[in-house]
Amino acid sequence: MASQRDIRRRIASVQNTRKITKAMQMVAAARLRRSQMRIESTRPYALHMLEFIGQLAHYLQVDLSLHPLLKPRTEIKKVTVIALTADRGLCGAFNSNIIRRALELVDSYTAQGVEYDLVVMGRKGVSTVRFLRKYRLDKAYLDVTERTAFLEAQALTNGTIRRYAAGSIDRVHLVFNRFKSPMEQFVTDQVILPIQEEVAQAYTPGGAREHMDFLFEPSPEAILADLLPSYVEITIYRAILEGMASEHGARMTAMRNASEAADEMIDDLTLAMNRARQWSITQEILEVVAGADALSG
Amino acid sequence: MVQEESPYLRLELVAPAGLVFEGDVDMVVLPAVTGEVGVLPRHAPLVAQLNIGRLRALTIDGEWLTFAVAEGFAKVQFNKVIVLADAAEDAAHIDVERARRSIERATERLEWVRSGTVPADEDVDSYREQLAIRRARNRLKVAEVPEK
Repeated sequence: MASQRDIRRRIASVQNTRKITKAMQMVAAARLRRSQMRIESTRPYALHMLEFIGQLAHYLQVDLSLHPLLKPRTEIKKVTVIALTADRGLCGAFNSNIIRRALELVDSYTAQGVEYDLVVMGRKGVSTVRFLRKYRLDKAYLDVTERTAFLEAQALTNGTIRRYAAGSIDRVHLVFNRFKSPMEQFVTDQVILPIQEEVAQAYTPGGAREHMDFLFEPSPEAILADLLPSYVEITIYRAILEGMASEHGARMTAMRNASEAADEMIDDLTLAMNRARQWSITQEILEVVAGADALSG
Repeated sequence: MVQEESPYLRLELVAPAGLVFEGDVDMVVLPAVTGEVGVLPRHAPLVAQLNIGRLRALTIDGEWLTFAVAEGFAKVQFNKVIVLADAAEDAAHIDVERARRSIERATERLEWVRSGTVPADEDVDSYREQLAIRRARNRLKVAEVPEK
């Protein structure tokens, strides 16, 4: 049986760990609230963007679904898979779930004889892929913060769209953690190129919208050509923010579980310690009684 | 065509991170790709592509507001100016130190790429760094402070 001193030391150590997990839980909760607000504040931009695209397509009288960035390709020879993971761990299965989903996707394409480019954001995902050695990492984005997220999204979009337009890739998947609520998050795999239907739907043909004589600087075609990539940028940006909020949510849950486990452990250890103390007291009494008996006997 | 009878322009300046400014103004000067465009109330419907630069608005109190904006789009319709910019900051609240740091960092990272000495655990996207430099320079220019 462990001595009282050993047990006491373990209790102190578990208590220290609990202090850390409790603190991390609280920090994650605060960050989560901020992240949620950030997701909310991207809404006006995204909505205006869709409206712009819709109005422009309406004005130009073009069927958006035939645009090169929207039209699905009949033959898929190469795909890009982008996985958005976190820079930090201690958030349960968050990172491993995302990277697993991304690698499954890569595997299934490989099985069909389709080539792939793998782009990973976040140190955790990058180190997993590098450790496995089985996959070729095309590009890594590290140390992305909420402040720089849009810049990273633009850089990512720029490279991806250029290759897509040049025809060297035929489809782009974005694998990330969609944020529904602090408790409810799930790994999502979204095709971002070709741009999906929703954009084309923003344009409602035959609507009662009044025809406006717009002036364009420089030209409607040039503006539309620039708006569509911007739509991809905001999509990726929102995905990054949702991933960050999910990360904080996952960390909060993981740390709460850890704190609860620590509580349980402390209870068990305290019980063990009391037992050990009682045992040693009983032992002493027995010895005293035995000694007294020996004397009187 | 119905134009609302309003002597003011409603300006909405929206960046991906959120609404930067919303309010009634007398005039807006947009940094369009084709040159600066001044917009007064009852301006004809307009869609413009914006350059990185300076956006100015004359408030109804007769005061000029200045914003550093990155590339984007603007739409003028029904006395309403909606500006979608990749980044937008009020000139009075530009963090000069941060802009300078960001130029330094980006320059250093571009130098890694140029000399082929990118550390093993890093990965540099040159486009991102160039964008960062351009934006930071624009912020400093709009804030009217030197780069160093």
